[in-house]
Amino acid sequence: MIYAENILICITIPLIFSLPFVRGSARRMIASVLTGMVVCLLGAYISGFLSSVSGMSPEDTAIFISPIVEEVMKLLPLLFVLFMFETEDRHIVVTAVGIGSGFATFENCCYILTTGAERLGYIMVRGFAVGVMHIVSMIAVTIGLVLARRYKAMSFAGLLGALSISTCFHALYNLLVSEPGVSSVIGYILPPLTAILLYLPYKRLGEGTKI
Amino acid sequence: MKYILYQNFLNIIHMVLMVYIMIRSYKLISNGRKLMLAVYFTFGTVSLFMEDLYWIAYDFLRPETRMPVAANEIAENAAFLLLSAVLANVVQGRLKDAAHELIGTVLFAMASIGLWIAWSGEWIQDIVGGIAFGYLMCRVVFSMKLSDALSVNEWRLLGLGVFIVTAGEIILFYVPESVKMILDLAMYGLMFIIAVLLVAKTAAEFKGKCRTQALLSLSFACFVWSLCSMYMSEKYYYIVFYLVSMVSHPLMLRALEKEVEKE
Repeated sequence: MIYAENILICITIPLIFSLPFVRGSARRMIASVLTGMVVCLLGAYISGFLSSVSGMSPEDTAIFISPIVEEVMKLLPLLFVLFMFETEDRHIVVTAVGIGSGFATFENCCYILTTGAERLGYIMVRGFAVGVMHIVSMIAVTIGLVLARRYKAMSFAGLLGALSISTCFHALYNLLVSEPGVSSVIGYILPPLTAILLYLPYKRLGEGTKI
Repeated sequence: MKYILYQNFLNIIHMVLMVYIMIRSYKLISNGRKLMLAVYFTFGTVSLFMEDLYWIAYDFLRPETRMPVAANEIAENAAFLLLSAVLANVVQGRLKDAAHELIGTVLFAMASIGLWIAWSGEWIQDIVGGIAFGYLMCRVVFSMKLSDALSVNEWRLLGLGVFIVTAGEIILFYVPESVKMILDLAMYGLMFIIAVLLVAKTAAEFKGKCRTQALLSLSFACFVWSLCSMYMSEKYYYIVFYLVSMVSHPLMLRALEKEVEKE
């Protein structure tokens, strides 16, 4: 057993103290990373609660419940920023990347403390896969949101659609890595590969739309 | 392994088709015109691709086990919502202009959800999926009406056909086995005729007036009806309607390309 709250406090205090000393995008990024870490912990609480209510095993919870809870939790602060502030598109992207990376960082910290960090190879795979996966899913949603806002085509259906894509992507990753062997390898390759595939349209869209 | 591959053969073909559609629709994104439509459509196609991918992965890794929460259905619902968003951006108007048709669609959607629950017993999944699918159905019908995709007589025929299919599927629960087989076959026949007529109507629109809004509505209607029929079918009939749905994807893409080229 690990004390996730204590780990969160330990990691976030230096970040919180750094906030007054930075401005602009740097401050936004740090605040988003902090938010990502907090929503990761809240997501774990909710997943744990749903797991105990439904009587699912931890593995089934990771495959079926966590993707939905985590993606919703990551999206909520982003939506808050999007709808409450007149934020520029590039700031929304910074916020999304910050939330995704904060979430992944905290999740990785807890994972490493639980399982140990002896095997560097595995740790790197874990970093590349999970770390990238959370950022990729956030970027995919953000592209949709930013474009929808820019073209005044924001709709509840589109929003839910974007959220569902990221949830399915997350669920697919969790499913693939749940079994050892080829499926795990495919699972670990999936996020970096998607990141590359997503970067190309992102860059192309960015040229015309100043994302 | 071979069995699973055989079982998922159609899904694999569908995935290949989705990749092709994704590449073509991505070209529409890079084109830059009517970007939102292209983005929503591409994301919708990605969702359908991921639905298949998840299904196959699950079948390989956990064969014959029940999914408590089906991520592939989440992806499918995402596709419905994103495709609805495409239509919502193309055809806009007042709801009361298509009031009768929308009421009929809502009733049909509710009856469909009821039938799915009766067949599968999955309350939550069928209601959630049914709402997303029902929303797409309403969007399609609304767009068809506002774009004058069908004549008055065609609307009546479609309404009658859909009513007979729904009533027939409900009656199937109460009739004896001997009647059931014949009625079941008749319903499949009717569903197939409606699907073929919708595809033919879309093809005729492509060759005829080629009104882009009507084209989009009709091609989406082909897709929606093929899915409706798939959900009501099993075994070989399911495969037939799956193939019809595969035909509808290129039609949807081509209609979208026409809409984007229009400006």
